[in-house]
Amino acid sequence: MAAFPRNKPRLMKSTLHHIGILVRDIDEALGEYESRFGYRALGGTIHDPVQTAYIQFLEGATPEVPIELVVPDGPDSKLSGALKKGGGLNHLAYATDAIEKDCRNLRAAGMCVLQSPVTARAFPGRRIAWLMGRDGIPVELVEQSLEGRLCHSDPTSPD
Amino acid sequence: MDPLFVLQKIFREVFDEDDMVVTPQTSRDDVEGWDSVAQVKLVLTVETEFNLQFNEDEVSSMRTVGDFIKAIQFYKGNG
Repeated sequence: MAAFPRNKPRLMKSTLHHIGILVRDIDEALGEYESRFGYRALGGTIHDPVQTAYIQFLEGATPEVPIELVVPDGPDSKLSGALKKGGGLNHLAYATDAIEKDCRNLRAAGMCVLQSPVTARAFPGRRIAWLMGRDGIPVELVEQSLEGRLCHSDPTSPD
Repeated sequence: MDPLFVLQKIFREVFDEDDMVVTPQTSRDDVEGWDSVAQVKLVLTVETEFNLQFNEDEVSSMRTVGDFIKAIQFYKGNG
């Protein structure tokens, strides 16, 4: 067995920002997460044109890592196909303070950039990017806010 | 190394079909399961096999085996 590469330099810090879960119905899923695990809605449901989805953040006992419920915004949504296959775990999002550099480095390290950095609807004033590796799990990079907060801004506030 | 020969091996591996046969005309519409996740697996495997890196537009726009062949030939100087 190969030795664990303890001294291997990492490309970026693995600071988990949120976990995306693809569901059919936000209200139904919200009720389940509330009753099962004690999550509560964080702000209101918003439309994210980048993901072509409606999204709802949930805060639980580890508020620094919310869950993002994701529902396709229509039959032409990029997520419709994945929902037909059952939905579930949809993406992992990591916080970054150097989104373009991290995209370049992760591309060179064997991931595809599906979406270069664009302004995020869910995180006003910040950009997001999307990548995927051979494991097929989409990875979202989210710029940290200037204040260094990892959690998203209130999505009900105006952009 | 014939790109089509290597691509056939890659497609068989990604789609887990040992007797899969592809031609330059084989498209996303012809192959069940050639979705965005499979596209990423194809792209990353081709990049490793041919030691090249596609740009972002190519990753999303290659929709046929022939598109992959053209891009490979471009990067390898045979296009």
